[in-house]
Amino acid sequence: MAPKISDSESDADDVIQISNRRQRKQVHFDANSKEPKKDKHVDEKDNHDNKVSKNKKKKKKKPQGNENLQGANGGYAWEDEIKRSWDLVTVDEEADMTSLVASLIDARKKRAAKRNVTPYQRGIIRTLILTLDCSESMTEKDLRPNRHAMMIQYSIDFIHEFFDQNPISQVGIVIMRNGLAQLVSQVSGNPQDHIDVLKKIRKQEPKGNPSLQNALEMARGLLLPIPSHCTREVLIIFGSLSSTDPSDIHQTIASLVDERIRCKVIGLSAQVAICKELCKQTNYGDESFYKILLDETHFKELFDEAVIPLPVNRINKGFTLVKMGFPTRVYEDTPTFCSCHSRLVYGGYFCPNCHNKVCSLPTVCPCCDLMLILSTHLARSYHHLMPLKTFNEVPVENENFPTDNCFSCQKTFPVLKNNKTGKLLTSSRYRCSDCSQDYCIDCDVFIHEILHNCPGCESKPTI
Amino acid sequence: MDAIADPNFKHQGNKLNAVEESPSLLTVVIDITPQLWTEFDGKKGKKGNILDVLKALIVFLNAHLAFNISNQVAVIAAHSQGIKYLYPKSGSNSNASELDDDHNDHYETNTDKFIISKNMYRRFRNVDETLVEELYTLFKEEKKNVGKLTQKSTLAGGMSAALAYTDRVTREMETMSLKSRIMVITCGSEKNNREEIFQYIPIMNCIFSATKIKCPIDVVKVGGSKESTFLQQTTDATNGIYLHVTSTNGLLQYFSIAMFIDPSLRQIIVKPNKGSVDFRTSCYVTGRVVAVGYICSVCLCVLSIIPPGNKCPACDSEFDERVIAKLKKKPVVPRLAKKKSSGHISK
Ligand SMILES: [Zn+2]
Ligand SMILES: [Zn+2]
Ligand SMILES: [Zn+2]
Ligand SMILES: [Zn+2]
Ligand SMILES: [Zn+2]
Repeated sequence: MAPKISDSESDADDVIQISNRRQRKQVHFDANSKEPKKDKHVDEKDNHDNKVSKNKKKKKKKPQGNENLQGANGGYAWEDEIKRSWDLVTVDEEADMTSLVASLIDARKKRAAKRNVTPYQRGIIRTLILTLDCSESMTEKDLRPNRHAMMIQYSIDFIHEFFDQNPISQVGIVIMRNGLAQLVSQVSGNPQDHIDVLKKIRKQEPKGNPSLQNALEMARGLLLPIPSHCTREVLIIFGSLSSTDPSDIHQTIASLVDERIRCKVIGLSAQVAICKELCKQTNYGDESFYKILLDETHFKELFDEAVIPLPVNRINKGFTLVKMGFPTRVYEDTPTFCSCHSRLVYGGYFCPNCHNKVCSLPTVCPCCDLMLILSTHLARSYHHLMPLKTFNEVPVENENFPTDNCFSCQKTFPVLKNNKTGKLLTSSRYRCSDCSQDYCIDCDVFIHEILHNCPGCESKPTI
Repeated sequence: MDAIADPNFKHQGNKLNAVEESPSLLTVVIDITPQLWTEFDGKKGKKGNILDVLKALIVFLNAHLAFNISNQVAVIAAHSQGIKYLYPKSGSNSNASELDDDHNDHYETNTDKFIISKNMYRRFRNVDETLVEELYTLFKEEKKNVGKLTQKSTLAGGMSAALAYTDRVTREMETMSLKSRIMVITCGSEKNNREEIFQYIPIMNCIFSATKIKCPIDVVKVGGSKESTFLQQTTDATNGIYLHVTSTNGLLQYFSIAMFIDPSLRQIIVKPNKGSVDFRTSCYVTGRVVAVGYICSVCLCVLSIIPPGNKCPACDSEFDERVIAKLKKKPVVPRLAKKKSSGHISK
């Protein structure tokens, strides 16, 4: 029976209270107008499912029905000309490939821009509370099949990716449902537990109103016992336009700031003033932690952003030594019980501190509370600390390239020439500045996103 | 992370749906650094061990090609000055390397091609000829490189390239559900340990990407010490096979018995590498092996002692003094009397 106080006085100026989905769509673009989204169309190219055409049909119908809704000078999203993905590739007579190549380069630039190569000191040992909105607004079908299902699916992917990139971190999951915050998955470092819970939630019907304050308070409570060498983060997926809070949420935000808890919000509808304030306050005035999604792909991208550890902030210093154990693995002929699940398993790892058997790593020893990891887990995080340099595109000017094949995959570089002038449009070569080897774009992406090793630099015999 | 954490203690679901017909790519990375092999030759008192290995390798590659019409192979050599693709040949397409007989006429005088008969099956011959040809030029180049400086092994570079190649072929053949694996052939050396330090991070990166693209890495180590910490970790994490052979005799049998186990069968079959893997790390300062250590939360370096001056020796960040004080605190042993009384209460 929480008193339902909507913090409308604060959102009044920013939030446009609309239930109409299409109008909201327009708000999206306004809200994000600061952010250059020019490259967006490149993405949409892959996205050319029939959804585009479906939307088009719907949008065409609407204004015919209620003509009195039409604004004099536009302003409604549905009045804009629909951009089909295939319209983007314009075949002009000058050079039929020009635009295609341009889009290729755009895509490349976009990827390059996303990469952060500054060797920041990052908070590698993270604790993150994933807060999911499971209120009624999540039944909206603007994401397919609906917001709730998509959010859960992406959350599962996120958990996989998160633990893949941050093996020594921990996650807890809280959901906002029926005006309450509910802890569904305890803070732990085992991805499987979280995924099982998420799969269970998928079947639950979203219900009631969300309460941002309750969720934040719960996250704060969960993060309080976390030692200072870990980062404290909250990632909120927020689909509603209002929050039902029992008391003053500003006080909660102030206490979050005190506790150095950093919040990131992914909004599924329009911008909400309180979320904006929350992100700004908890991230030392940085507003970029509040993002509204544009479409499904963007949603995924926003999740991916949250996987990369945050740079250590000047104010948020937590340089410490952390005591950890490196257990040895043993094989046994007869199964014995593990102390973590009380299951019979063959072999496992013995805690070097108390000689107690655990069956999987990384984990915290259930007996002596020592963090147990493998050295490989540490190595997994090294690339965050020492990012690989971005490869530079080789200029076209001189057409004498040292090689015709990609150094790492042997693929022959494509020759993209302007039909009339015979000039090369792009060299399609991306060069590492350290070893001056040329790579194709696919290898460039693979090397920077998965491998984190430059094959050329690694094959130099000298250091 | 699961796969890295420990592939051995988990039921790995039913991956058995991989049908036999699905083609597979075998990428071989072979370390042909002459110094290593000469050293090995010296120890065995027999010359040309590398030739034995290469002969076995060629037969092995042919066998792999014979399994399935769509199977593919690639061979990368890590030599003293860098890496080189032996097959597919640089500058040619992997699928379209149709060599004409007359095209190769001037190589006929080459005595190294004694393995290849003119009547050999076309696909075998394409691979074999290119391989021998490229090896020949490579060895000739290596002759000139004798005096050149070599500080680290180029194996990590070769493995990186192999992964990139695997990624490319997988992408190109997306519709065929291509399986892939990488086989690393290296020669053991007593001096190797020093080199491994510089390779730690690159090899680790290779391991992670291999698990990500689900490509097992098999390792064959010829001679040298039985253990090879990083390469053993590689096979362990990627569900590959680690094989250590002391001599090159009968290498082909080893290859065909141990290396042809299909990845989907690997959980059932007892692999030669079943045994303990050294997962310990060494301390950044003292170099001792660490069981319980301290980790700098900024750069993740492992320390066995609390560094002097409360400063990380690797990244220079200063540690929080309170936390250090807490870590330095000796454990407090509760008095015996107290323990007894509490025992009474619980009764
Ligand atoms: Zn257990
Ligand atoms: Zn313990
Ligand atoms: Zn390439
Ligand atoms: Zn490089
Ligand atoms: Zn450090």
